[in-house]
Amino acid sequence: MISLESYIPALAFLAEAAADAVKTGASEMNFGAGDFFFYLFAVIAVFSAFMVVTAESPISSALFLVVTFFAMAAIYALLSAHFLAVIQVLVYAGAIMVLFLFVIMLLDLRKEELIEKRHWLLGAVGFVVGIALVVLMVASFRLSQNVEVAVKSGTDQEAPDAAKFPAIQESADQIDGSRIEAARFGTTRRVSKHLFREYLFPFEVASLLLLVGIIGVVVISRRRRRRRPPGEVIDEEGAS
Amino acid sequence: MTGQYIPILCAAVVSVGLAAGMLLLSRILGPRNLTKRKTSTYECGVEPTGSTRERFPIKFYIIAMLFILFDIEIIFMIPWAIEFRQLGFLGFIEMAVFIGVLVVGLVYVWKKGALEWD
Amino acid sequence: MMYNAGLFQYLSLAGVLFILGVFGVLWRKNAIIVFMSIELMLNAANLVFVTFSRFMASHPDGYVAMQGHMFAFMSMVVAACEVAVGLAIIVVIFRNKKTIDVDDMNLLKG
Repeated sequence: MISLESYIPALAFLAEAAADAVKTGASEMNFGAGDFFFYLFAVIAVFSAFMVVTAESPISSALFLVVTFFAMAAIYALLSAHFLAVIQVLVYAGAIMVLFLFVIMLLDLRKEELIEKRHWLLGAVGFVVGIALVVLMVASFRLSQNVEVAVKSGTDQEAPDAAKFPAIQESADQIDGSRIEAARFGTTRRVSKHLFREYLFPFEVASLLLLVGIIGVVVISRRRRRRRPPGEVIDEEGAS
Repeated sequence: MTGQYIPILCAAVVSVGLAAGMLLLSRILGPRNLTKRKTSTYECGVEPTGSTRERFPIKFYIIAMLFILFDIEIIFMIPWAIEFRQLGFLGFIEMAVFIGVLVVGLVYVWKKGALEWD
Repeated sequence: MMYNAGLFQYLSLAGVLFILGVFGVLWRKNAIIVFMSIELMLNAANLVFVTFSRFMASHPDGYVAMQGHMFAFMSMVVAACEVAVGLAIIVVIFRNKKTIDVDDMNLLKG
């Protein structure tokens, strides 16, 4: 169980990490190209995600979301998830965003509707909830380590000083690149080996999901001539 | 492995740089004296009527939506096509079932007339 | 090295994106932007999957497996279906109510 008390060590850990970062200083950094590109794309992703949430018009929101998706694809590539990086661009930036832009063009929104936001307090609540979720993630992560240590040492008490996150100190491209490459980690070949053997059932279920999606969309958005009162011209041929 | 991405990075840098450079240069170098006529929307020389954001008919939306779902189908076929020989006949059967289910959807859409333009 | 891009940094990025998504869902009234924020949160979750998959593979006790990738892939497929159906629902709501303000969608409120 994750209780409220487990937040406290997590917060302590975060504070410790921040203090470490300040203490280490720029002189001792061992900065690789992978780190540089991670920070570059992370900043791009966070900035454009922020713009998605705060932009006034839905069109610029959608275009910033495209930028976020591209940055995420780059980060997948840094994590050597090659197939997923391509799929991210094809599915999210290619297909899903086209649909979003379509719908924004489809709906003719009034000006005052675009800028309307809720009370800032609700936004603040959102922020607090989000931060609480992240701290919960850190807490559960630490807690699971503590449990592991406790099981190993045969006590059901939490171990006094559980280790920090595994591999937290190394950067993704520094550790064991050869092992990952030898296993063809994240390549399309590897994905297909898993997809058509281990994950055969989810693969076939995905086809049912797509079928349901096709039928659902046609049923929901087909125009119904009989039941529409006269004078409504939403889906008539309005555009010339 | 990550080094393979260098050409993509170069392409991205060149395209972003070109677009940004063109916009920036035309802004810096081009003379600008804007009048109301000049900034108005160009509509074949006629006075603009109505908003730029014209509403689309919903038929376009159904087509776009079906495009997405069949796009996903194609994405499932990429890894299948790459490992086609190794997967053998069983892989062929698997993909045939997958496509068969989606063909049911296609037939449904066709029968319902969602693909007809008028 | 605290500054190198390790597990903590990748998870923090996912966390920040998720926070922004939650913020958007709670703050905005435009249903389309709310939907985009949900996509943002889904992406953050995918990033967590991919990150753990990668760092599991590089951990000395870990094994090189790609369960996280498969999960993220499936969640992308589900997201595509969800966007298609969800946007169709938004279009129908706009057709009937002439607005996509999420505060006005209260027909099912008891």
